[in-house]
Order: sequence, then structure tokens, then C-alpha cells
Amino acid sequence: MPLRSLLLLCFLTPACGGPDRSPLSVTIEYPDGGPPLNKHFSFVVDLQGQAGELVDVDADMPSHGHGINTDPVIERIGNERYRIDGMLLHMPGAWELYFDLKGSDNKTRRIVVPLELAHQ
Amino acid sequence: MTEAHWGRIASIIGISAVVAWGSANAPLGSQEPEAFVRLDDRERAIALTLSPLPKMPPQPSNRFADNPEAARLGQRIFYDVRLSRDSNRSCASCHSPGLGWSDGLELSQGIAKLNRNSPSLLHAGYQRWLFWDGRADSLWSQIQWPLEHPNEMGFARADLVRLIASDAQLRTEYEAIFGPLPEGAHNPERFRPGGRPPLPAPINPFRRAPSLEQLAESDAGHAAWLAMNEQDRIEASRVLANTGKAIEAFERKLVPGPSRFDRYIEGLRENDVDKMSALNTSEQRGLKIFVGKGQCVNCHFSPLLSGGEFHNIGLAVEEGKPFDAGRPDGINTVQIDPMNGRGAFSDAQEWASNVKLRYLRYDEHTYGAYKAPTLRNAAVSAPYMHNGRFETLEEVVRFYVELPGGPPIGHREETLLPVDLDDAEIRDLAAFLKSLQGEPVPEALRRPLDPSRN
Repeated sequence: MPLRSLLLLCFLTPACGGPDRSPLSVTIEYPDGGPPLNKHFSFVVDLQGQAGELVDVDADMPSHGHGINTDPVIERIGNERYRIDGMLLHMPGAWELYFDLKGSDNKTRRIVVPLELAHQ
Repeated sequence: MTEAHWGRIASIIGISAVVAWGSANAPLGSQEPEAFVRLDDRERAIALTLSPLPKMPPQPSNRFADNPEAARLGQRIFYDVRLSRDSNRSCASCHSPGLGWSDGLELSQGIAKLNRNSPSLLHAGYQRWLFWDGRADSLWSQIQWPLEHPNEMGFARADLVRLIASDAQLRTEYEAIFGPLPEGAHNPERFRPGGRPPLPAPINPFRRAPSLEQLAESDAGHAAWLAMNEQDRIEASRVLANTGKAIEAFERKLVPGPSRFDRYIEGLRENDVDKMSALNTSEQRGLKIFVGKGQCVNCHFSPLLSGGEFHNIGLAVEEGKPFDAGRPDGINTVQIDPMNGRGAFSDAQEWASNVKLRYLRYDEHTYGAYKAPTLRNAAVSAPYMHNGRFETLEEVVRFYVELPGGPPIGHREETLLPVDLDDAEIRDLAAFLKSLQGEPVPEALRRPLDPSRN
């Protein structure tokens, strides 16, 4: 399936960021057309040199006080690349995607990627 | 960071800008009457593409979903009162064509009073989940609930086998589609009167599960079921599933024609003021609120005017009404339902055809949440909400304006805040909702088939 590569910066949150507090980023390859509204989809995440293993993917709508209704599944498909299945962004609006990376020190860092999902 | 990366970022910013702002203020046309309410940007991205309704999605777990013979059999069964314990009610009793394919009651009435409002069947084939709590993942599998719940139709799958076997027309039509009925289908010693399993229910960790024998003592239908041999139980369940598939084929045809709103949107796209005149000024003002400050499109989006997922809107429960957890019970139930899309009677059991089950998450935030219904044809399916709380669309709108009270469980979605609408705007919004009524489904579907005609 052809994929479109997008690079998204993350926000630093209190639970996010390495010891040097450097900005974190990942590359997200969405299906053609971008993330769909209210349809299950898969995408690829490239850690772009971030140290650690991707252990959890989640999403929230902070202004709504709720998250997603699915449990996405992570599959490692390359050195720093992961395929995520089962994502469902079921409403239009402001989402945050969460990528939890577990480092060799056993600590988990969270990369937060904002995503504004428009009506389609 | 490489130049390529910055290029990608720039692309994202560009895409976001287009998505967020659209194209600016395109003219409506040289003959724009002042009566038209402007929505811009480019008529609010053509009213956020709430129209037209797409064609019916495929239904892989039912290979008869679009089979005309199955739909005809489904229609025959849909109106057949023999499928109830008291031979007095059919599917149409709670889903009456003359009452918006609902029943006009606050809480539905089966053999006994039920706990929830009867949802309209119009557009049911588009739904991802069925029931207010989404405890079924297909129209065919949901049949077990109304058919076998003792408070609804109180029937049983073993009785269904014998009924079809004893009616020459039903039997002929059934066997032409699904193949032979099971051996001994006439025999009440094989397919015992009242024989049915308990309805799927998640295990309650706080209550000791009764033994099969205890269940059988308190439930004669279950006792009859346990007295049947295992193969006959499987066959009876297959007949029930096939009957559900025929009913689903019928229900997928319950799609009204285009509404005045659809014609207006067509006109908006084409700059055709004649088509846009399909909505009067009040309805257009209502649409502007719907896609604007009313924020209705947060949950009622897409051409179905519903995302089909679940929301806690903070609807208080009136005194004396039963407690209802909402979506969590639906999640737990659909996952263990032997008739779900992964079950033995599904025509597409592989995970690829059941992504909604595979990735379904149980989450406490869904307590008190119910499915956002489609708003198409809502005008004819009063009363409204899962508990039939409101009699008119004006009352529904006023609820969202004021947001009184709070939910009995869970918490109201935080994006729901009181909306500043005056009485005139409330009337406009309700008027818009009434413009979503499509042309009625064909008359031939609105009544039982003539039994003398094949």
C-alpha cells in the first residue's frame, strides 16, 4: 500500500523527553490521503534515531476528556520502524497521538504528536 | 534536521492550512437572493460534506446481505407475529413503518416493559454497532436479543426451527436460500418447545456464576435447550443465524430517498439556487448553527450525521428509571457473543473482516455512553434519547443548550458545554433537523408480503 510520509514534531510534556530534554520527533507514514476520520487504519512509525523500543501507542482528545475506543497493536517491521494496526480516530477535532518508548534504562518516555482531524 | 525533513514540515503546515481554512468566500452566483444564509468558507466546506449518503457498505459476515430472495424472506419474517411467545408481536411491533420504524413509545413495550427506547431501523445497515450500547456487531446477530429475550418477543430458536418446518412457504423459501432444514426439524422431541440458550452476558466477577443446573431451574427455555443434543443445538442456532441474515437483507433496504437537505447541499455545490431553495431560511439558519457554534457535528458528522460511536452526554435519569451502564456492557457482551462476526455462523470469521472486534477496547470512559444515532429521519422517530426522555426535537436541542443535571454514571464529555442559543435559534436548529427527512422507503417494504404471492 502506498504510504505518504509525514514528519510531525512532538510536544514536550512532564512525562516526555530524555535526560537532555531535547525535542523528540518521529516520522509517521499515514495511508494515502492522511489519517481517515472514523475508519480503522494502519500506519508506520519511524523512531528517527530515538533510543528505545516502542511499547505503546494511544491517543486522546484532551478537550473532550476521552481517548480512542480501540487498542492499537504494534508490530516491529524494521530497526526503528513499527507498523501500528487498529487505530480509530472516531471524531473530528484535536487529537494527541502518544508513542511510549522504553529505553535501555527501563524508563519510558512519551512522544506526543498533535493532530487536527478535519471533517472528511 | 535535514532539508528534506523541513520540507515535510512545510508540507504539513501547508496541508493544515488548507484543511483548516479551505478556500475563501466563493460567490454563490450572480442571482443570489438575500434569503440565503451564507455559511462560508466556501459554504463551510460544503456543509462539512454531510451529504450525499453513500451506497450501503458491504457486509462480509452475511453473504446473503444483498440477496433479493433473502430480503423477501426477511420481510416475510419481519412482519410475522408467530415469532413471539404470545403470537401477538413481530419485529414491526417495535419497529413500525408508520412510526418511523420505531414505536413512538418512551420505553419500548415487548411482552413486558423494556428499559430503552426503540431505535429506528432506517439506515440500520450503515451502523457499525447495533443497539444503544452496541452489544451486537451485525444486524443478523442482533436478532437473538429481541427474538429470545423473555421481555421482548419471548420466542426461542428451537421454536423457530419447527415454525419454518411447518410452514410450506417459509420452508421452501428458506431452503432455496440456505439449504435444507436440519433433520427432525418438525420433531418437538429434537427441537424442544422454548429451547434457547441464555442470552450472551459477560461474567460478573462480583457474583458467583450459577451452575448449569441452577440456571435450568430458573429458566425453562434454558432447561429445554440443555435437553437437546449438541448437534441439534448447533443446527437451531444456524437456523436462527440464517433467519437473522434474511432479516438483515430486508433491513438493508430500509433507506429513505434524498431529503430536502440533500437537495440543498447539491445546490450549494453547484451554485444552483433552485436546489438551495429546498431549505427555507429558518432551516438554513439551523444548518449554520449545526455546523458552527452548536458544535453538533462533533458527534453527528458524515453523511449519516452520526459517527456511530458512543458518548456520555450527561443525560440524567429520572426517578424510578432503571440503572443502565451503557457502552461497557455492550463491549463486554459483543466480545463473548457466539454469534459475533468471529463466531461459527459468520460468513467472514477471519480477523481481517472483523477489525472492529479485533481492536475493540474496554475503557471506563465509556460508562454512561450510548451510541450517537443518525439524525436522518429523526423527525419521525420521537421520542428521543436512549431512554426516550424527550418528546420533541426542540426539547432535545434545549437539553444541549442548557445541559441540566448530570449522568448517573461516568462523566459528561468535557467538550459538551452549554451553547448560547436563544429561543429563535433553538427553533431554527430543530427546523433544520426536520429537513433531514428523506423520501419514504418504497410502499412495498412497508407492509407484510402477500402470502399468496411468491
